Amino acid sequence: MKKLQYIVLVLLACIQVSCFEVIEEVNLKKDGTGSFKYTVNFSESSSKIKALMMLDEVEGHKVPTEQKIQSEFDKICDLSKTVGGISNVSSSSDFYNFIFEYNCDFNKVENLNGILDSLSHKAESVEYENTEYFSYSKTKKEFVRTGDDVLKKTYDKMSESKKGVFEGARYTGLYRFEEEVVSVDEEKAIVSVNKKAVLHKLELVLLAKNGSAINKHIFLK
Amino acid sequence: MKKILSILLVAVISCFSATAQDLVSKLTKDASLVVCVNGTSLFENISVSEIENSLMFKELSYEMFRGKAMAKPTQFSETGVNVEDKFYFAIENTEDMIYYLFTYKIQDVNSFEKFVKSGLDKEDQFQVVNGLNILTYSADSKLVWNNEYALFISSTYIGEEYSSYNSYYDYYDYDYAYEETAYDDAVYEVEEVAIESKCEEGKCDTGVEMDEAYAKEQKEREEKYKAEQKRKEEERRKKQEKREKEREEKRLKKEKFINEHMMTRITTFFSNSTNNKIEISEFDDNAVASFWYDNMSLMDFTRPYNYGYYGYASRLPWLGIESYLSADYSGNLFLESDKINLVSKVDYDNKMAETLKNIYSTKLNKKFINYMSGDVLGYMSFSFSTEDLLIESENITKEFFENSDEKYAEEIAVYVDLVSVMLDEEAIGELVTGDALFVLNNFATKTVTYKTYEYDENFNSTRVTKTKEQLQPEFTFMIGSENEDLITKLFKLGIKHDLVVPKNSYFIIQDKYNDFPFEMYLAYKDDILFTTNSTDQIANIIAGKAEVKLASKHKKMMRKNVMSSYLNLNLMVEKVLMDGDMAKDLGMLFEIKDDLKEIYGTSKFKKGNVESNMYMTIPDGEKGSAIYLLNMIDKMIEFDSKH
Repeated sequence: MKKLQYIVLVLLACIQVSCFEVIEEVNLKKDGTGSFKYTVNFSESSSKIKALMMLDEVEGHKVPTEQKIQSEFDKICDLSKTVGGISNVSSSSDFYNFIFEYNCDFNKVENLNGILDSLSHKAESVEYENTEYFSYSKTKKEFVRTGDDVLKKTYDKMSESKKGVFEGARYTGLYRFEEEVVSVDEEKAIVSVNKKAVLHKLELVLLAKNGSAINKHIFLK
Repeated sequence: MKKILSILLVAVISCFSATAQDLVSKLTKDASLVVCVNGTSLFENISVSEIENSLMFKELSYEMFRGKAMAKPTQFSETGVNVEDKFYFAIENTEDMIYYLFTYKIQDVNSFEKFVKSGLDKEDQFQVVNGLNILTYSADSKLVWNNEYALFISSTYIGEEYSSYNSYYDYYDYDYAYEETAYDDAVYEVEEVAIESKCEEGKCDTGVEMDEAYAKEQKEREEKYKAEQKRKEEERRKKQEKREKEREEKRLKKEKFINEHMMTRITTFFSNSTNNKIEISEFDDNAVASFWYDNMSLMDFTRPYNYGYYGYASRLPWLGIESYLSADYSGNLFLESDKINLVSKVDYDNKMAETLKNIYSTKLNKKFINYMSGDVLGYMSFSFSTEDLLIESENITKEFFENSDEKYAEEIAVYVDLVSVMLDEEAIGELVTGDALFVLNNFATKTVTYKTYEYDENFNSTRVTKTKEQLQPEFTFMIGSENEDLITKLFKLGIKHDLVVPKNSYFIIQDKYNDFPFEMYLAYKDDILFTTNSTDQIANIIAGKAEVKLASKHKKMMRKNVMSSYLNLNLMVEKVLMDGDMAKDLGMLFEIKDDLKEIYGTSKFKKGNVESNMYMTIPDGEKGSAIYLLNMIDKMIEFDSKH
């Protein structure tokens, strides 16, 4: 994971112009099961990435090859397959547009915490750290998304010029439910016309500076 | 009276000679690198106060003394150093030591002493030895001064005797673990077999007897084992103590050796009788900075770290390639009224000069220039004879092995001969002549597509294709080739294997794996193989025209030199900043875009040397390049501090 994080940061540091988006999608059923999709889309910067990948090294950073990126991505997918409650793991890598997708099903939304923990903290381990990134209470009909400061720690260590890679990058959180949404406590998050989905878009730099920017409580009917 | 006058005369002469002395005379022929910063020349173009009041001075002062207890100077005079004289940095390589020397004149010894002694950790860091003031920073670095000049000396021990490589076995007790483990295992096995054999002989048939006998022997064995272990532990401890003592003695000897050698070098430096003085005729008194280095000696830096396959401190085999690198490199930097000018020279020995004369005997094919438009952002041209390069390289490698002590030198020399027979240098020289020209034509905004996601009213997502304007470089690469038949055959093969697609009179490279961020075009015409990513350029090449006539200055530069380069910084920055994203991210360029003009570079082979000249023009109306440079650096610092 550290290698993948390094690879992503090298790519980010190299492309300088920050045109990429991260999309997190959760589809939650009434019984608490559901599916999860995570997309990282560098398509807007693909020509710059391709130009850079023709080089071996940029500003002292070794530029990763497609094989290297794929191998690290595969490792993460394999790692997540070992997390309890996670099934039907699949992924796709599009090196033409530089779009990477990760999909899985979960028995309960809290199982996703195990994946994120393993990705964020334990390079080669799937130890469950009880960090509540996602939680859902069937009795209270409450879905909660909580952020942490893992990204902030990296961001704070970056030089001012390197921090620029986050300027203009976008984060999208999309949460779909079988039941109608009654309310959301995050004012920037909007509810769909059919009231069964919530969309939360924000600049990635805000998330890099403050992990709790993605915090929200969604109350269902 | 006559005697007094004589003494006065000697005193005056010695004072004059001391102050007028150029510190380069203190450096020896052991030097592999000498760098000079000429304060005299620098301060002819800029005043001391102009530098002292600059942001650059404050920044440098902050960075140099950051984290140090020394006082941060706000004026040069506080340091006591004579900044209006020459500063020298040199690296001297001797058999056992590499010295790094930095020397400069002192203007006011009291201020100097106050400055260098401020923030001293310990009083005993300072001592006076033989009339020299010495500040010891560590075992291998000292600052030494008299009333006129100062020397900061640092060193690296590269000898064999006290080298850490040589004492590998002192640091790792490699022999103990294996030997003792093996011994213990052997003893254990023998004793086990002995017990088992006794049982087999019937002595352990009855349960009680067997248990007692076994327990007794087991106990004896354990006691014996413990006693043996204790003895070995004690032996090991003593051995360890002995080794530690030896290591410490060796460390102290090494420290003493380094100190003695440094003191010898210091004494020689401060004496008026430096033998073996280096003479560098290449340094120009009008230059603000100059450098000289002996390339192969400088490369000896890595020698002490080459321990391994080739033995201690051996030089790795270069197979004769060092002939190309073995030369003296020198250069002078001038801050002139209209440009910043770097003039440099590579000085080869006579034999190599003769070799290079053949290789650099060619001139860039005139036809190349016909395809170059006058509005380019930059270019780089080369011209050498591939045929002669191959012939001379074979000769060099062959000669190296013929005169080498390598085990298979004779065989390799014959092998090189065989390769030489098989290679048709003339034919290769025809296929790749050695003429090459890279042109940066433009930065053009192109419409590119990208994928993103859109959401309907119920936030169902759809992947959509969008377009955006993006700045991309347009370039052309030309290589000389006179073998049209072979090039044509190669294109035909390319078509057969779907590597290229013909279009009109050129070819489009099929980017099967999407490796290129743009389309690439190939064409062959007038003995030139063209590669470009610009549709305009390929059209111009096929039409055989250049849109804007190239200035004769550039034509001359390319035709009269073995290498030439040009960059129109002003135009390039202007084009880059037309892109909104770039302008946002490269804000500093926006600040200094009017300060940037053009950079020219040329290299020619002349009288056995390669002479190079690189200069950057400065905007009209500037008071000189020294002030221009200072102002530009200040602008950059100011911008950086605001963002």
